[in-house]
Amino acid sequence: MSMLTGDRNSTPATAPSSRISQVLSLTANVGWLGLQHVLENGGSGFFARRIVEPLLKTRRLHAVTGAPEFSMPAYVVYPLDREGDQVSRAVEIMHRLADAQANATAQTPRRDAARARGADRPANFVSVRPIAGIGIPRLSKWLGGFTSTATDSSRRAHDEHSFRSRRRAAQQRLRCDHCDRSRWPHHVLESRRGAEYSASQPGRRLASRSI
Amino acid sequence: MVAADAGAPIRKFSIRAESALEPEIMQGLVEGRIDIGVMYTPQSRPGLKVEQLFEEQLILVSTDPNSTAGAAARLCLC
Repeated sequence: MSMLTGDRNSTPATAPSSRISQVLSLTANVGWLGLQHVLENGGSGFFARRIVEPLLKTRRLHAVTGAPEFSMPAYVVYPLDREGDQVSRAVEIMHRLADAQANATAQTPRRDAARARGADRPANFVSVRPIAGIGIPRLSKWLGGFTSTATDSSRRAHDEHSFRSRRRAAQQRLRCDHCDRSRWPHHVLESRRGAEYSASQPGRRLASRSI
Repeated sequence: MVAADAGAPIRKFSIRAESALEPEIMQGLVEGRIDIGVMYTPQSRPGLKVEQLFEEQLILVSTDPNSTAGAAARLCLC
């Protein structure tokens, strides 16, 4: 895992410990790790709604009003030659769970359409049985936590060509105004000092440091 | 896992779940070590099917209840 801390020029590797106070912003590409930092030290950052929803409800975190929102599609990948066997059935179950969660949480007009489609589905499509430590209940809970606004029709139209163009569009949506890079997903953290720093020198690159 | 589709025989499966970076998962899928991968940025490979599973919403949250969108403009998404 790599994190981005401070600026390479102003924070050399041999910086004395007092310089740590000059680490002004921090980027973590592991969501829960960044979230932990924000909760312990204060600050703000972009996180997946499904991750921070409970914290918003308990008011440990607050949604920043007027801030942009980004949507980032997530994909399931499986071998073509497994179509028709248990793998494709498992994928179908994953789609249903993701849709069910979308129906429960999405606030978009698609919600009603998805719910209407769900009405003619068999209700008893899966039951679960725990196997060892990380079993299906945990997996299904995890899957159940997904937030989705995807529709069946959008998936059906989702051949390999449209996949490429969708990904390109998603990358453009997440393109950075400052450094013109489009790497993602990254969860951006910002300390309070980081706001001043970035505001005064928006074009400066952050140095990467492995931990 | 017990798939209880009507009329189908009840079967039991063990599932092994791992987390890894995208290239590692893709390689596992190509080599047949992994049956199903879930990721944000899959690659298009012959023999693999890619389907959108859900759409993640990234929102800006803060520990400060009075924070405004001004901070967002200073964020660097890279």
